[in-house]
Amino acid sequence: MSGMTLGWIGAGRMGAAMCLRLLDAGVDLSVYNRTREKVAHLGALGATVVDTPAKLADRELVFTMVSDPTAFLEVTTGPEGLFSVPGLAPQILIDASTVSADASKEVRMAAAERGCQLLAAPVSGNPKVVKSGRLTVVASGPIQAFEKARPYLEMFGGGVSYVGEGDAARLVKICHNLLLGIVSQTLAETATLAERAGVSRADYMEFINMSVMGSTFTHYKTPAIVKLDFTPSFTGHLLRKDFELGLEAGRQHGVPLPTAALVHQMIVAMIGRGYGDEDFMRLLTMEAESAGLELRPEDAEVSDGLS
Amino acid sequence: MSRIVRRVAAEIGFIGLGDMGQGVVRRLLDAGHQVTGWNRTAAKGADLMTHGMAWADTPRGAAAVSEIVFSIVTDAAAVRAVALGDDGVIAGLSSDSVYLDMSTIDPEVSRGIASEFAAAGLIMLDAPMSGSPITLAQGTASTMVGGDRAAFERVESVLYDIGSKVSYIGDSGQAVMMKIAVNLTLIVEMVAFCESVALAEKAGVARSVAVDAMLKSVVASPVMGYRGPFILEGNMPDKPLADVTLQQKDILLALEVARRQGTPAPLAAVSNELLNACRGRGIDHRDFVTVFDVYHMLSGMS
Repeated sequence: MSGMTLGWIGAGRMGAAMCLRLLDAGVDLSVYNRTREKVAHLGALGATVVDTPAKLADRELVFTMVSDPTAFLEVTTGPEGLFSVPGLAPQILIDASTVSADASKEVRMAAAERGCQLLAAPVSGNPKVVKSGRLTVVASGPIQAFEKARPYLEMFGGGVSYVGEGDAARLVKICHNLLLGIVSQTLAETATLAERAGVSRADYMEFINMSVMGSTFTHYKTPAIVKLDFTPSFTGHLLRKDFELGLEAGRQHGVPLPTAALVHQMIVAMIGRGYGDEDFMRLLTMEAESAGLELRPEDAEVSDGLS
Repeated sequence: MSRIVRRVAAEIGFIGLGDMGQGVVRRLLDAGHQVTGWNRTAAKGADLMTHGMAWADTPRGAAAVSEIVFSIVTDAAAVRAVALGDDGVIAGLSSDSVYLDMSTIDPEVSRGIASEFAAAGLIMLDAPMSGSPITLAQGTASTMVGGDRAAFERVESVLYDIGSKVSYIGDSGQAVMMKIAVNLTLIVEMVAFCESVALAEKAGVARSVAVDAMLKSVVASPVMGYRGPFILEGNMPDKPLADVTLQQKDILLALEVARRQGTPAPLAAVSNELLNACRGRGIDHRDFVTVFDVYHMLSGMS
């Protein structure tokens, strides 16, 4: 173990789950969260809880996992931010949030002025995926910084991919979410087709999950598809935003994305129908409504493949 | 709707002398109106000035000497720049004059600018045109108008001098909304036309025969009539009526409105992606029916 000192900014549901993996591995970790009470449990497990991001300036490697670009700027370049202490800054900042290219650029420049290197490291998975040790990370930025950080990124368990310089990893994450939306729409269409022919969704998903098309994702969406529980893991509004970033990138680079464009329209319709704050797997009921099929929750025992 | 015939020449200000603007001014001059023009690049007004158009140094100057002021510029930022501010139309327009913006912009932006005019006791209508420099010259362009109905009726006869089809659509912003909806169909229709011709051509029908048959069929439309033949060998004009990027501006507006109100527009979305393929292949400087080349390539004919 190389034994760097680590800091963590933003321990919401996802961030806290990731901190737990680091603590389990015996890492020296200090944590800042806007609502201090929410990280008391991390303190009980050995993390040092601090009051401001500035108090993490003496850590060697700091992660950020925050909700949006504004929060990302606030915790880094803000008055009490990570870079507010004269003459003191981490060697490496790893941002695991989904933020805009503009915010990323601004923070990268502020970091560089203080001798700190920024890695973009978006992740694939939800808190339950983290807990099961299957969270995957895609990283980009200076290769030397990545090599130093790699042992800590590997602690999340699912694997780490390095994809190049700058913000390449953020585009990869957008591509990932296009794939996620397209697969979800396809699951919605095929499950509806199978049900119309008399096949229960539980039976259909059991087969798909065992087939070559089965994936971590098809497994963990199975309960939503079978039980029609649309408590959000990721909302329709958030998925729409990522599709728009992806379609805009396609337009700028002259890459046609016809399937993504169609699925985007299905997501727009889902939001127009009033389901924007629910889980994006609501695409299933949209599809069933278009087919004139009324879905009912099924009684079958199903697993999400994670617990 | 009955046409209000007005034989008195009007004093007209005109902001924006691109291809469409020049075409409109030419028709207004031909109808006997006095036109005072302004354009960011003054050179574009030179030819019209030899045909009797007067020049103003600012949009404000053009508005100050006119009872009707038109603008037609490329995007929302350009409309705001010519309409508002110390040198804008709003600073020169009098309360008994009417300002009509013919640009294709987001309806919300159009409504916002109109409300700034209203707050100053002035009238702005949205008055986009459906047509190209070709239909305009033929006198068959169509103008759609949104905003104060009484103001529309005052200027209606002048609109007939621009083109033979004039419609009052509804409240402020609704005409430009309608224009966006019309252009959605225009783009999807022409992409579908290219798809159909490629289908027939690969099956052995000569492209020229296929285009001719399409134009004699029930699906023929004015836009198909003048744009369809562009896809024939050697027929693509050096100067596009609207290149891929310009045409995408309209479909992106449609997709933006669709997104905002939760209306799915899958055909527009996929057509836009086919236009993106034109960008990727480096042919986006051509008229957007160059999307035919994408079909031609995808079907293994080139």
